[in-house]
Amino acid sequence: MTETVCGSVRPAVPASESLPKAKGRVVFDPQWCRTCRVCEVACSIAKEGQARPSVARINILFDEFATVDPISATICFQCEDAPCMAACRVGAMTRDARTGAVVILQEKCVGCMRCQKACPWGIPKQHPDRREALKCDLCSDRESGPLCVEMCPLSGKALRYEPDYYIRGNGDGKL
Amino acid sequence: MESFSGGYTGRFLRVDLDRRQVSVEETPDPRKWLGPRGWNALIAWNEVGPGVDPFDPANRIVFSVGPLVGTCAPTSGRTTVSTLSPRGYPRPMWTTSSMGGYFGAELKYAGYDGLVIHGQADAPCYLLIEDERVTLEDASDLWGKGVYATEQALKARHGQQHQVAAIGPAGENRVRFASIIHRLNNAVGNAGFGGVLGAKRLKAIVVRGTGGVKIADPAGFLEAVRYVWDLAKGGISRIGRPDAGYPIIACTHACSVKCYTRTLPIEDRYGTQAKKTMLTCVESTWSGGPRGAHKAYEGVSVRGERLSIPSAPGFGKEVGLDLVNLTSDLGLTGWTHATWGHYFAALKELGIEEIGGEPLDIDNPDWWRDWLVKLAHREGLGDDYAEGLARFYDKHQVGPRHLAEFFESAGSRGQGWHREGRLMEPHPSPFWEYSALLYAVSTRDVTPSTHGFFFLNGLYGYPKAPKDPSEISERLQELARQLYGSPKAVYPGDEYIEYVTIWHQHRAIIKDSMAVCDWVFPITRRNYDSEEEAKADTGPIYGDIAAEAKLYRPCTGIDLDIREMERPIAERIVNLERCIEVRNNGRCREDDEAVIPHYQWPEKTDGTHLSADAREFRALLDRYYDLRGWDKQTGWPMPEKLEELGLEEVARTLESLKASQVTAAR
Repeated sequence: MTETVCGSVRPAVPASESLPKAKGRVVFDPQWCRTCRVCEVACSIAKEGQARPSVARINILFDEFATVDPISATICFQCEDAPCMAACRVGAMTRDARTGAVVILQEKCVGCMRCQKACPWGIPKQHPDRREALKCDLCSDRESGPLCVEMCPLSGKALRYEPDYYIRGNGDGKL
Repeated sequence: MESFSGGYTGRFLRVDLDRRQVSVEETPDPRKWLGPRGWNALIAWNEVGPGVDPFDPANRIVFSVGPLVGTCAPTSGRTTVSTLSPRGYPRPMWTTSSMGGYFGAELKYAGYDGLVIHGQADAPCYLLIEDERVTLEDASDLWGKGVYATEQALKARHGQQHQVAAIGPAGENRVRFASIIHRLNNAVGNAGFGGVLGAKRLKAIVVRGTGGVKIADPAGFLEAVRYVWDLAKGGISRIGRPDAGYPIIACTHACSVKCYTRTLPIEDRYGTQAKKTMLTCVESTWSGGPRGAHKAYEGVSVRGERLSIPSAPGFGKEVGLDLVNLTSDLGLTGWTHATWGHYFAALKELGIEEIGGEPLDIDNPDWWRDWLVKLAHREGLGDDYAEGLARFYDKHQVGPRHLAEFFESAGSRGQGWHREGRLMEPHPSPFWEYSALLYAVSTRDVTPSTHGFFFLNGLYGYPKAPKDPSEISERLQELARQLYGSPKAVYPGDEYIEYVTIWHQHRAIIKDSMAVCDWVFPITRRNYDSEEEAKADTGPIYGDIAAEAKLYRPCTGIDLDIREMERPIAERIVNLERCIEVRNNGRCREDDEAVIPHYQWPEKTDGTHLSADAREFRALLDRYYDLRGWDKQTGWPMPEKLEELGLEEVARTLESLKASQVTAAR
């Protein structure tokens, strides 16, 4: 799934008034991506202490035989309306006040994967070993921002962190 | 208790095709064997004895991934592959090749440091590895298909994230220069390993892993990655960053440096089922001008023979790239055109217009299409072309022998001569002398593992070949001192070559054992963001040759420094690889001296060459053997050296071999 096809099908689910608002997101540009997949490894090291793309909250797919969109990424858009949050029945999803990221409270998550089903792009994924959903939290625990962006050799081009993406008025459904 | 806390998985997968059995064994001790080069040599020593042919079921093929593979260490995704090379000439020999792509990382994620395959399946099959689940699957529907159709069928069957390494018709038909191909053009390319899989009736290996690589010290490791990336970012040119220049696709997992490996769209006029190609280095002879990307060679050897070689005919970006893809799709090495194209072009210049009644219509790309397809299927004369240029010449003797040997000979171990200052780029003295000594003791084309010394002879090396040390810049002399211990290492002549050669041999082992890219490691020179920055800097140009160890320690938790990796570990592995050749093929000094005739041709820019009696080379070989602890008469490692390296059993085997030879002589 590429970013270019993602914007057109956003469902209109209103965000909860009581939660912090969406602020930023990681933006992926397939024109610059060299498919080294360093972002996946950096993410999984940050989150799980090992190099393991299957638990990374960002994944790059390079289909060498595809003639259209050979390079794509799966990464959360941190939507303003976040249907994944609305779908969660156990209160395991919230927003980080500082970054505006939609985060999963791992201690509450039961791995029912309703969030994944609710997401138009199926971004939240199941941990291969645990009944638990995984998604990008913009490295809200890191002052310096998402590690994938920091470690990307084309940081700022292939991957960039825009902490005020939605505040700047980009939240009109166009990506 | 395991001796490591990250990087390695500690598990090695074994597949016996005869019994259709799969087992898992412990990875050989990383502290003693470091990674793929050591493990693979150990398997050869223990399991592949004399008399085994590359195509015998008893031959082993080993795919190994080093401790950094699967991590984000710059350029680290490479798979190191070893087997008996069918291309070895005058006889097959155990050797090592490698490839980039995603295959190695996926194998590691599946939980394995390596995969050893032996036996022969009773029908075409492919190996499917999905974490713990390892099966042999029927490949009767894929046998005969091209590499790209095979890859696409297997990805459609198993999933886009499954990684596939496959052979084409060339491998199935045991062509001696058949490759194993992964993705578009990542290849275990030049040593003929595709034929080994073909003989085993193994069409492909498909792997998917959902596990991970433990990192002993995550924070320290990321710090090391940042540091090394900054040193390495300029890639092969040492200038710029990956966001400048060519529209590249990383040729390997975690390759995050600038490169000129390009992925380009193609028309696919030859029906390979791929609409783009990946272009690296030697394949660009196909896409060069009407007379190729590389200049002709002209020279007279000390023996008085003459050579005049036009460049191989190229076909421009459009048709040339289609031929690159056809070569890969058939499962042939990217070197096919560079060797045969030059040979045919030179024959035509000699007035030889046909071979075996078939015209050499080499300026016609469709002629090449037919030629490639015939040799990949061993049809007609293609059956003899499939044996490689050296063996083909032995049978047909078209043109003078010195012409054929200029491309492939016993000295080049049956592969195309590479960076030696004659056929390809200039390589003035002392750089071709490094190459000569490396080839002398090698079992394959040496350049893919020792580009490093060539990079000294670049932007900060020689502007032109110096006649005298006084013409060599002080900063290059200082760099030589820092790397090799003496500025003499870059003086014309061979005064210090044995030290340089041994250093690069050890570094090649370390590089293959991590495994990282030969265009980047060892990091001998510093990098710059731009040409301007490079020009403005007149200070020292040393990079950091300890970069591999700086990544290795926080990754594995094993406290090895770069000197220990060189000696005793890499030295141990060089000696074991040598002993495999000695035991299996009787490798000796005479075999090493097979390089001499080639280097009696003048270097293409400075005209230097070995003398008629090659006394300087024989003296250099003496010094090399001395420094290695090898016997000067036989070229065999001495028992004391092997014992010093902890190879007592190997020493005993060589001793009894020597005793039996003495008995036989009586």
